[in-house]
Amino acid sequence: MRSWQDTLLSMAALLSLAVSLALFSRIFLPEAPALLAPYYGVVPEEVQLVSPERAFELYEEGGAAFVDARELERYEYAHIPGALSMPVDDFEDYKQELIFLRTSHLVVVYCEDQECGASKKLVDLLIKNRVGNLVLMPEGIAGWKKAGYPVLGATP
Amino acid sequence: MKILIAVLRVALGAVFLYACASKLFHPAEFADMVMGYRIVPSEFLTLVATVLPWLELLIGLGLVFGLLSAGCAAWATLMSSVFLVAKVSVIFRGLDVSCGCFSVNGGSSISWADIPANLLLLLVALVVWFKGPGRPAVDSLLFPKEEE
Repeated sequence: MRSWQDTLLSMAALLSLAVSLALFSRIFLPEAPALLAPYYGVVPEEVQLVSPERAFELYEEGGAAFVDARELERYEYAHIPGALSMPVDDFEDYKQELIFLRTSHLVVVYCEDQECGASKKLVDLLIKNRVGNLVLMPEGIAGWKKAGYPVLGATP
Repeated sequence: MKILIAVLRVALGAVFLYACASKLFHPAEFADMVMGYRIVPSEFLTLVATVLPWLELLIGLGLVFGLLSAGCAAWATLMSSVFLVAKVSVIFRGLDVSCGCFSVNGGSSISWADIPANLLLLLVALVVWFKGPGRPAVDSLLFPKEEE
């Protein structure tokens, strides 16, 4: 093994070259997501992203159906008041809720936080099952609670 | 012995080349896979998903040709360790996540069955790092004295 200095130097050179190539490759990928913006998954164009503040406005206005994409245990632990539980992994078991959502004026989907992918997966499934007027709250229940909005469950 | 090390080095490089192939021009799909691990903050997901496959490509090429092999083997060791920790963490957290190791098209969920292959990868990377590139290797041609 060569000296640590040589190894670290060649590691730095490889990383620099990889970053340069990666940046260059984006010329050929105009559809690629923004490099330094928060990424919430490949969300269909027709689905709008909303902040917890905007979601709360919709909640207060009424008329919007809130859908929790997390596991039932997490939903029971804490959820937005009035939200439907629709765990994305058990989607096939929620046919009745699906019928209700098809008639809803607006559907707000959320999961745990910015890093969870369940809400995005559920949005994909809902679109495939002909549910329209979908919006996604990427910050999830964590962002909702952080903003001080009401929750129901074992830990309100 | 040097030939055996060279064979291991080329095999390790081939694994990295295979791993990067489907990810290089699909950063969004790869970012989705990385997001499933719930380790990387959403602010850095695209950056990681964009740079990582290119780093894998350079590591793969470097190991196959034996060029900058110390740096490539060190990166291979570091990345194999990170992948190993990430997989074990996913298993312990009970997350249903596809590996995304060699494809961005999903696949089976991570389980304990994935760990031995990752350990083997880490072991080979450590051997190549500590034993040098073996022969034949471009490094041996460029720096013959250092390799002796």
